[in-house]
Amino acid sequence: MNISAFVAAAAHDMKNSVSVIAAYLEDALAQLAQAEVAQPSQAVTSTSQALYETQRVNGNLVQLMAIFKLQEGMYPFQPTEVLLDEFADEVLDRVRQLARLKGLELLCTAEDGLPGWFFDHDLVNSVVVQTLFNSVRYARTKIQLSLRIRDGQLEIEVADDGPGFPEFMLEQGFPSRQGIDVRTGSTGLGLFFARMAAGLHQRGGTHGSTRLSNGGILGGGAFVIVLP
Amino acid sequence: MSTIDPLRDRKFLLVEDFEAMRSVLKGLLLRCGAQRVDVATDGREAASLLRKGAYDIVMCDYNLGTGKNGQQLLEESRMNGWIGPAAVWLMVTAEKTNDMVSVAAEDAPDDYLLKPITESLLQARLFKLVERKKSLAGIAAAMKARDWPAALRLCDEQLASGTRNAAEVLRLQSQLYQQTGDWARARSLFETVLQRAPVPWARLGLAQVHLHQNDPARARTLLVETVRDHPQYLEAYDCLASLLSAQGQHQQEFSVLERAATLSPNSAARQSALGTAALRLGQADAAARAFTRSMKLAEHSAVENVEPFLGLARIHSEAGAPLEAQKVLADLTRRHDSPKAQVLAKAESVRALHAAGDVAGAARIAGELAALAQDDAHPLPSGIAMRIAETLIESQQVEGATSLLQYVTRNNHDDEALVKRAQQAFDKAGMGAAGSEVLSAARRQATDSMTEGVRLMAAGDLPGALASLRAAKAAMPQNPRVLLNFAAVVLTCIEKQGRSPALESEARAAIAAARARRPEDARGAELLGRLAKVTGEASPTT
Repeated sequence: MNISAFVAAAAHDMKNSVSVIAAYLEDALAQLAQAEVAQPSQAVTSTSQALYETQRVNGNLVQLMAIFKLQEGMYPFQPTEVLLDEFADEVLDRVRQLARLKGLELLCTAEDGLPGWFFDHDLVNSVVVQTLFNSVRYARTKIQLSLRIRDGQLEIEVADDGPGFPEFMLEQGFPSRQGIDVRTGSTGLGLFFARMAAGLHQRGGTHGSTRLSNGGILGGGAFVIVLP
Repeated sequence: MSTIDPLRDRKFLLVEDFEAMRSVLKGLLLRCGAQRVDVATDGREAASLLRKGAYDIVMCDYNLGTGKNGQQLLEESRMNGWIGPAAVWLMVTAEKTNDMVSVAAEDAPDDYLLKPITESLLQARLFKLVERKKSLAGIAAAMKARDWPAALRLCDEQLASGTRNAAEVLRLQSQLYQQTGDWARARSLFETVLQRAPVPWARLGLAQVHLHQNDPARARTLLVETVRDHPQYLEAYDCLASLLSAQGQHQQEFSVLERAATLSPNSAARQSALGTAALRLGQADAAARAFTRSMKLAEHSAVENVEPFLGLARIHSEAGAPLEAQKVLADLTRRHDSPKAQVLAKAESVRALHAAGDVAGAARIAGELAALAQDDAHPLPSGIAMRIAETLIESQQVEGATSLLQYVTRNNHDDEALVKRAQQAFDKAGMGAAGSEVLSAARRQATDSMTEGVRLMAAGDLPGALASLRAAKAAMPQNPRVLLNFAAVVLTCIEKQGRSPALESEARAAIAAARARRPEDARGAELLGRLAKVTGEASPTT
């Protein structure tokens, strides 16, 4: 057994615990909500923050496990037809509560009459939700999710009005060999995963891809996943 | 049901073995608007609740500790009709694995929920699934009742109304076309879907159409591409393996199944198929391993799979351990009480007796089996009769085997694949020439009787034609062509000479028997239409 197999097994076990913690936190939030406080109390804010951090850990574990499985050829890649309005609702729902607490505006623009699109729902959901979590962390006032068809490909974009991505990410997408950027907590894992997930999708020889830029529609970072 | 609160009146069952998670999930369901939530802590408790109460929504953890897993519980519930076609089954899991996604579409849960589950996500999914199942329930019910025309009509209606479930409806519609043998429509449906996206089920479906249109080369190319482009789509491996098997490419069949079993090691059905392929290649050790694993995996499953037992018994007999073989067969008959399991176990026991040197015992049971298979009241399906014949001939029981092979051929004279298999059985026993004569005679018996019926009809001798085909039907009660020709003559009699309750019920029974054997034969439906016309009933197909 090599080390990555241990990492994968440990990730699996940690994920079970994180699931339970997340569920308890959500339970606690629901009970706090019943207590009917006009202003969010400190307890609500801290619990929400704790929930957000657990979901971030969970997201990272999911992506680690998926990367391991993809490399072993054991990831159950399963594209199905996804209705894009439902998809958008679902990903936004994951960050809505936290965005509200932080006073962030969540915008969504989807072109009219978008067709159902064919992709692995879990993989792309994981990519977009992690990106949204990331934006919630850095945005100043708003976050925008956009879905559109360009040149026959689906583009899903997450943009915010934060400071944008660090330079190394724009250049190569990965942190230097010295390791993670302690200040930002960026490991590059999310981006690595996003590229891998996008690349698995292909149609008529065209593979999916990702794009990263600063100074996007809202002035901050913008991430786009392109699915053929 | 209130539109504001669609979950309030639904009956929920929550199945989760982990206590902390159980109370959390129950709390989530209640907050989503559920009011009636029963809870089970393992597969056994869940099964007993499911058996009793009609649940609308089942939320079930995939891993349930020891005993059944969530998938086995789902299959058992659908098989036994414990949950209806509109019921929603949500599988909860920490991560998706190949074993989960590799189950056939009709066995799959309505959705997977990956932990952690949030309240808003759960509520949104539940609303969506309840709505979807409600709109598809009519089609599912018609399919379960095998009322293909009604199911197809409902599909058309849904598609015309611009349903949000178009992808699912199209998949069901394609199944219906295949079921009714409408290969042209099936083909154009698959091609239309594939123009939009490389959907795996449509590629597999198109390959199946090629197979039915006698183009195995194109089917094979397409399947190889499908497996290459969608390496996790295991149904394509199964189809490719059975095609390779039919082409006699057993070594390649084995390697395809081996790859599939590596990707999804916990599928009892796939391990069993792997064992069968290994056995055919004479790899007894590999076969025994796969069969044993399959039996272990199916320990808590309600789905009957007799092959691992039969295969292991055979391996023991051939290794000179007939007592071991009998033990395995006793296990089989204890675990599965279906007529098929019982009769195949009995056939396999002939091999064990033969291996033990009990010639008289083997001959006695072979004789019983030959008689049993041809019992007019409960005739065995031809495929099973053929299996028995093959086992008997391998155990030197030529007499019983010959009688069975004649019976199968007589009742399937126009089924080239089956007749070829009968000939191969004789070839294997080194009696190819004699067998060929026996089989030709059996086929001739079928065709002669029908030619005679047609001749008498043409000569205007209706009573003569009727008598001739009635005799043919008695000799070949399973032959769909004979049954339908008989029904056609009966209908002509009624149309010309007026109604007769006795004749009508004879025709109805014959058409039903033919349709049960070949549901895709359009002539059965056509004759039913004629019957409905003369009896003045509403036609069953409109």
